[in-house]
Amino acid sequence: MSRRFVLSRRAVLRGATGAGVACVGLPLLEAMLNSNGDALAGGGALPKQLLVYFIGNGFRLDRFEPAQTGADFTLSEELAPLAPVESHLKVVTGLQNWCAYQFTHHEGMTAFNGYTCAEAVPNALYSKAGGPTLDQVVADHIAATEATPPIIKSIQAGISPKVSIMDSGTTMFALSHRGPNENLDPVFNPQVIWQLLFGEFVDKPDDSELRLAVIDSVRQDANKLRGRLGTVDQQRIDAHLQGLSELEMKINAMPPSCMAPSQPSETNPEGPSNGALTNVNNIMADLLVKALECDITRVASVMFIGGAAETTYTEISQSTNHHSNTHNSNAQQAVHSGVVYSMERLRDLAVKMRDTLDPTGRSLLDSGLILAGSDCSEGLTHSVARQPYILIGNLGNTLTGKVHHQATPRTGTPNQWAATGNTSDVLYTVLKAFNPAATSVGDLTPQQLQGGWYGTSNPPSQAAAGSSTLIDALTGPEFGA
Amino acid sequence: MAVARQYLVGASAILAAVGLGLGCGDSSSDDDPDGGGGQGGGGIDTFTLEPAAGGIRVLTSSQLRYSLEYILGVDAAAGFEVWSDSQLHGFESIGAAELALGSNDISTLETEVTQAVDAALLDVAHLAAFVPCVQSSPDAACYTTVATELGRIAWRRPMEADEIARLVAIAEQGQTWGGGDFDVGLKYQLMAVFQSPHFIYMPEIGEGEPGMRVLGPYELASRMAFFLQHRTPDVTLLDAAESGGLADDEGIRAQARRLLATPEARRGLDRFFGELYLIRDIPLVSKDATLFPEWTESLALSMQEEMLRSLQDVVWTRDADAREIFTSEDTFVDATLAAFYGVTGGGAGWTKVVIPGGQERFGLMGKAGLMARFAGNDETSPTKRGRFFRERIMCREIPAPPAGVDTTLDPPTGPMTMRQRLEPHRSDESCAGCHALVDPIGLAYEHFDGIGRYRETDEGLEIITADESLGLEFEGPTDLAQIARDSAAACLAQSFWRQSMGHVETDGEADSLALLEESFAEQGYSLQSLMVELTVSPAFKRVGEPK
Repeated sequence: MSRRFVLSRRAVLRGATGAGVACVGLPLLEAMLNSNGDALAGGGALPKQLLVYFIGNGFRLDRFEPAQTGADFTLSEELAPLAPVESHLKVVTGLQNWCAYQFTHHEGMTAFNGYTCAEAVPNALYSKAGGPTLDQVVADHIAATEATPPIIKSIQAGISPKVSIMDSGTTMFALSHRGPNENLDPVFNPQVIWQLLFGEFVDKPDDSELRLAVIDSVRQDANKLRGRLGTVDQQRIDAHLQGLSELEMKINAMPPSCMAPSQPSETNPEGPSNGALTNVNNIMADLLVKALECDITRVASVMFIGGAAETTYTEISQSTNHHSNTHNSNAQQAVHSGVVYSMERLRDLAVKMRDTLDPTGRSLLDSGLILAGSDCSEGLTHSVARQPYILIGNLGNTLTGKVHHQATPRTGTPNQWAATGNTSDVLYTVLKAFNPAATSVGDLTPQQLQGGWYGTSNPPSQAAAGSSTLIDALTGPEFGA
Repeated sequence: MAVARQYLVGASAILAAVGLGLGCGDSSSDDDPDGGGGQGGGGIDTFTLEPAAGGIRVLTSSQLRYSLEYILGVDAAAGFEVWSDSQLHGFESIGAAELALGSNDISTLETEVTQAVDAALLDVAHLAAFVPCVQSSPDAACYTTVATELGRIAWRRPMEADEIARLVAIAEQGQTWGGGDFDVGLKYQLMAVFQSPHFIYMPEIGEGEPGMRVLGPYELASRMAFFLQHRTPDVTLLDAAESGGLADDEGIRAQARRLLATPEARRGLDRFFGELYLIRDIPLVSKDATLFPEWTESLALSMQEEMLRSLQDVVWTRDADAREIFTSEDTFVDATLAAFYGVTGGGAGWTKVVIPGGQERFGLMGKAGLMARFAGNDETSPTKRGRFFRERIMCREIPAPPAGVDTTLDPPTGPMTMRQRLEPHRSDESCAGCHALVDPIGLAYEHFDGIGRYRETDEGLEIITADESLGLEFEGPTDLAQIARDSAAACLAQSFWRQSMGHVETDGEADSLALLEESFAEQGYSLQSLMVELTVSPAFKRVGEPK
């Protein structure tokens, strides 16, 4: 095993005393573990990581959903690229997304937070996210409960800079949200991602005292301004203040003793072509996996392509953008090829996590989880009935290994494909794997359902987007511990 | 939500109260029983204003860059890029009024400000234009001068004593750390100035009666400068604010006209049109290379430039009737576009030409770049073109497609025109309701293919452009140009309103917006005049309670 880590005295202290050194991110080291290697020497739990991965515009469900359920299912055509991480693969199908509005793409994003979108103006294809996404709830939980939380609470990356030109609002343009007015848009430039994750730790004169003095001054300015504002803008200043606190924490942090990667040369500007998606995805994956390994962050989201984005998969010789293909019943073979191609990119990331081991031999797929999904189920209809999830990783055995859980069998023609249950059940199960004390996720208040519904022949008049229901089939031996 | 009080007064009272004085033919005389002199909309015989909520707007990434360019110099600000600016309701300025920054944005801000300040200190000549002491007498007193004078420019208001003291203390701490080097102290002082929320956010809070707060002169100066120049107010404007030069409408107009005469105003308006008409997207559009081998980034850049030059010609060169944007048969070509359009006379640079030969290329909708933007990779898209026309030219909303609908067009069984292929949009009830709003309009532009080239036929078949769409009847682009012209004034006024103030117009602002439209008409639909008159609108100068 590669042994590039340098064990520092303060790192030992951290493992031994937990709160002994504040605000330090370090890779997990053997010397920091207890004698069984299943907890920190100070008694804290081993870190868990969450990485959310998004591929817009759905799948070909007939070629995506595995034919069998349970632990011994055979990978479907569209899941086949994930064979290298099959032992850690969980697939959930047949659930219903209960966003109260149905106007394509926007409602699909509910699958990442369990809140019906806010301020929805379906006629203008406009909405804001209804509440915090799961990754942010988890990031808050880690920050609030860890004696030595990671240096950066969460990070958001994007691969294809092309976005929808027909849609508006915040919902569709970010995979991570902290609230309706707090969209955390993806950063498409790998150099900026590198700067955020590792820029602090390059050799330079130590001017941290001065930078902290500047932050203190800026904080006073922010509080002064805050006093003159109403509640909406006060929340915005609070987000700014939170950012200042996190910057302060980063400045105070001791450099991780793992080797930081060098700054990539790729800037990933938006252009007419999308030739470099595999390369950009690999660069981003390398940066994020290294940051997880070094415990610089434990929560990340990656938007591969956005919903309704005008991304064309030129690397597989396609000339029409993937979203347009999904709407074209004559281009469904191209859709399938596009889904397989994007699954290969998810695989590229997952394999990097599989191959990154800590001193005990645990991989990032043993300790962490990739939660992957889209903004609809079947690309052709853009339905959110049967919106599937792909989970790769066992989260320290709080989740099971390989399984296909299907809430509702798929029968009939595509327009009849029905679903039951609630996509947010998956979110709740994952949240509870991080935080056993969690009692729900999203908004549990039933909302009046509006717009055209499909997949469910007799939809209820009201439904809640959130959930407090576990999916037992996903849980592992350490769940609830 | 903010509590807003409504004022309902007679026109003469409000004109007196807000010092509006229409000046150009008083069309809303009290003597006229119809109020508005019989000019549409029922006129304005009473005037109600309930200003939209006040609060803060975060500066967009480009506003910050241009502001740093003014204060620190072009080289220092080059490449400054901090956050993605989310559009809400079609405008980044509305996103800037509602959305919060994320934690990583704050971190990136520190990185970018540090780089800009470091670059600025390589040569302090630019800074010295504002604070000469950084070059002539870099001593302890100069830190106070910088905090006071440069602080005022960066924060767009006079500095308070405790703020100056704090910034000086940081400078001194930095100087000590830097072994007595003045510039090191200056660096950290400037970092505190440019990371401050007083620089990053534009407060529009005002003072006065609840719900009817009047922007202070510095807040008004900022609102004007970020609207008209897309950057921080210059020293002249701040001096005008300080000396009472913005206390009356004539003073405001004089400053607005001065700002409009600067290159920054032109750059700002290019950005506005780039956003409004998606002109900024054109070089990013990809096309099927086998069908459209002519489509290159350089052709797309020429098309983008063509559109901007056409708009600049109307607004700046000729200060012409803005409705020409939708009706003019003139355009601008370089050699590439001359060949593309089939016109002669395109030389080395850009030439204004009339596109010959009955192509019915009128104004914006006749531009190849727009036609290419609103098309698929491999074919035209009457739906997208029609939607653009309704939404961005007529300012109408289009209902969203119903969920779960298969939007596939049947594959052509033989040669079929796009009109024939779109027939299901009309015959299928679930489609017809919405597509009737947009498809017929888009189909009128079927002579322009997926990259905006003129074509006589579609698949060898005749192209029919005549149609009707919810009360609009037209033979083709010629009639639609007139329809666009008729909607243009109100839609342009509304778009400038949203962009300049960062919110969708409210019911309480309806009279103010109507008044603006009236003055737009009275002044021959001059967009320069529209921008000036917007800055003296009662609604521009006031806000409700802070949100």
